[in-house]
Amino acid sequence: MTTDLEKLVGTLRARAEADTDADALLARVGTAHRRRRNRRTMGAAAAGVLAVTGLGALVVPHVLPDGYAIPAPPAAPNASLDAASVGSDPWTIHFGVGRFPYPVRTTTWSVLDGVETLSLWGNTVGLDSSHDADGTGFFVDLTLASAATSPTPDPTSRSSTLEQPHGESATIAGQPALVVTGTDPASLSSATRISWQPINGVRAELSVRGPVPVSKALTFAQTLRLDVSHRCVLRVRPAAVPGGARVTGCKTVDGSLNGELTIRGPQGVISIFVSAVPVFDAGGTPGATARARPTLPTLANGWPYEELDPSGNTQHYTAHLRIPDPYVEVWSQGGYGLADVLLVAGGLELSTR
Amino acid sequence: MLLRGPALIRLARLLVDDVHRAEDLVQDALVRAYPRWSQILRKDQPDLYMRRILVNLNASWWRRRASRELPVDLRADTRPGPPDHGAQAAERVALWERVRTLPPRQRAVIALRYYEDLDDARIGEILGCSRASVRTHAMRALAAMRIQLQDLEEARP
Repeated sequence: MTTDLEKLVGTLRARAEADTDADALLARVGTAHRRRRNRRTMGAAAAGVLAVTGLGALVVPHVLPDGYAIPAPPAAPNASLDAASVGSDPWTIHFGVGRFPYPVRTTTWSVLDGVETLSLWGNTVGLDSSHDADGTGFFVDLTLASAATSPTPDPTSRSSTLEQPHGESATIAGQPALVVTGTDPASLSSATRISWQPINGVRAELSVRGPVPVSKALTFAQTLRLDVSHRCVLRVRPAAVPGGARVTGCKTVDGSLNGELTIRGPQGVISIFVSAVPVFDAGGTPGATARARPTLPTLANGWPYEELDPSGNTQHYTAHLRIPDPYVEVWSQGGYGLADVLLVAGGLELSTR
Repeated sequence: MLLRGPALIRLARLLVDDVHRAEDLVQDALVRAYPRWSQILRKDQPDLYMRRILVNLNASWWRRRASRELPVDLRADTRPGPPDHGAQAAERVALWERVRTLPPRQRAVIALRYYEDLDDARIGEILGCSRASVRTHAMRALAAMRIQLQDLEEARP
């Protein structure tokens, strides 16, 4: 052994072998053990209480007393509803609802061509992706329309016909209702349609596809209320439209400032899509580097835009452009073309609630 | 347990800097072993088992408290004094300072190898690693402490 190693061993011994009161230490072990055991028991109990409390805090607001909250734009009181006003204002949805019995993934509130609609998409088991394709998903549409201004639904149309239908009567908020159950011909899933008149001159229909029991659908239908209204407000608002055209539709997703606007006129339709996040990069050419991007032309409102090839879709677009910031796409169908799209896009203004 | 207490404290004093923390470490190890002491005794190597608890506990302490400054008690280095002289004590303080700078695992290997005088196979069982790893830890530790490596390994099994 070298001198250095001898010194190391000596140092270790000198360090280790000081006086030791092992008896006192061992006497403390029993006490320390009991203290540790008590601490762990108390800790486990406290953790249990915390876990139950936390779980309760997460679950109770959703499932009690009657289901899951539905995102919506801010509500305003609506003292008395005039039947003729339902569907007449694309910026106003004249009804509200309570909670839904199952978790809801996406909600849209819309007014389009005289029909006010709340659409829900979710799952009766849970919202994680493992249930995406196991047949537990549901789709719900609750529509409200004025009997005076909207066409009577065609009972023979394929979309409103269920296979193997079974009808029965029910009562919703004191009003008689017709409940039809059967199989949806498009999805082959079970379906329920409940139709009633919440007030004279207003038709309501709740359409449910998926494994939602009729009793739950009826319970949800009972939550319809006409004493509130919601404003459909998006990030942008059109200030200019082609002659004779007007905004006839507004759709907001999950009560946010994103969604779609529809402008109808004598020559066709112009649509405006508003997204929270850019769907495409500005400059758009796949593989293009930032340095290679062209300088974008600007609209009348000063916003840069780029023109897209309208034949790049299957919906017979006649013109299509997009604005990178705020992210907006505007396209036309029918007799409207690029000049009309530029007019609408150039007249867009930022809006807030 | 009573017989093993002092030996564990001595080892703990080499694993940590503070003598009081060494006692706490041993106490913590014994508290953990206390409820199943009869089972541990029935095992073939209760000493090895207790040392493993001690080393692992120290490693977890070290991880938990790595960012905290801990008091260092250097008096123990000068305590065993009767045949000791001032220069020798100073030399030990300096050498101990080098031990203190080692990572916990290398420090455990040095303590088990050169104080407990365990062979690499036993040290490997305590640390849960191979003999080769123990040897590597030892060589790196000695190199870090700038201890002459020549002829160090001649007597190792």
